[in-house]
Amino acid sequence: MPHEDFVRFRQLVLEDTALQESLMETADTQTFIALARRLGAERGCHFSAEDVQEAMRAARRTWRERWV
Amino acid sequence: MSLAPLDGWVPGRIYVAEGRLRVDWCHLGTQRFADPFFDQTLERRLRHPFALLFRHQTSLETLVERHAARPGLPVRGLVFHMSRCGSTLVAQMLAALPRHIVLSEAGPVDTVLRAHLRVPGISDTQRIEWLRAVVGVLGQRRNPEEQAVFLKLDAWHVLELPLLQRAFPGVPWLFLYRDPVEVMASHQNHRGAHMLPGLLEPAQLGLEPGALEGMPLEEYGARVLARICEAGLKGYRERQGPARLLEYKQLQTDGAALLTDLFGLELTAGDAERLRGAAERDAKNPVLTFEDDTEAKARQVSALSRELAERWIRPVHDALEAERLRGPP
Repeated sequence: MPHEDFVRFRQLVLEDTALQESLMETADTQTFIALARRLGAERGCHFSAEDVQEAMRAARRTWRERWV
Repeated sequence: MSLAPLDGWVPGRIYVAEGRLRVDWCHLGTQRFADPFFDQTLERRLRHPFALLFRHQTSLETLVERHAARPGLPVRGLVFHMSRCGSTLVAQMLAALPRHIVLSEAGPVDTVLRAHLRVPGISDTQRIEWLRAVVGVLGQRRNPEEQAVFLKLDAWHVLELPLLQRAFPGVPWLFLYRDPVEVMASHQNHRGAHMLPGLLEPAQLGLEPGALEGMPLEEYGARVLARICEAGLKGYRERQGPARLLEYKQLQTDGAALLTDLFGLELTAGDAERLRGAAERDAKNPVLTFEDDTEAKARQVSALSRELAERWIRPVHDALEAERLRGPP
């Protein structure tokens, strides 16, 4: 299960197009994780790099499982 | 959810959760559906960590509401086929024009077409509404030059041709087919999903449920392909609007002209060049040039596959050819 602070951050992002645009700027995973952690911390959501990587693995898994 | 937050997002997956259909939305932005298959475009997008991690999850009703508010671009053509017969090349030719949105074997289209098999009590009317909504939402203009949507369906969707015609009345369609031995040879190397029991209901193939027991996979596949061709032939014979039959061998020589005529494409000199360029590439791997593998396929096929192709598919293939040769050029 993704870290609960990350889950909360994900919900904030999905409701905020400006935040989405900031996160879309980098495709490099390590840079992206650092950016996500910083933007999360600014909003009171504290999660580790490993939490983001675990969330990415989970996201990949659900995507594959939902293939027809 | 209000409409604006889903601008630039597309339904990537539709899935069943607790007996209801849900939508997994992927942020695609302005990225075109230019890959040979719908899912390849999404997979490419999901390499971006943002797109992978942040996906809206909504009910299917949210998608239907979005379609009602923003219907999307008009559907201008449907491409049906028997599989392994050049349909991806047709899709790539259509996608070569930036004003077209080509949905090539889009998973969400398949999910709603087969929803009644997974969730009991879904009517044809409901499937039609969902189908229009999914195609309409996938067919939103995300680039200023986009004007029209084309749907390249999965091979088995021709079994639902009457329903698709009700969903998109008057929209021109074509059915593409190829010599049965060559198609069986292609599936022999790497079987398509419809060539394995499980995807289609035995009743769709005119079989009793118990009839599959002990049936060799090759025979099952040959009978599926025959049934698909029969549905294409029946649909063509009973056509109410513009429709064409297209044989694989015609593609290189007449494909562009047929698409132009059937779908009313108004080509500039640059468009014609783009179509020619797409026709010369290997559709499933566009960095390679197209090579006709007719002879290689004929050499590779097993004696059993050849025999089954001749027994089950050849008669309907020949009927398609006879019908095509009687029709418009």
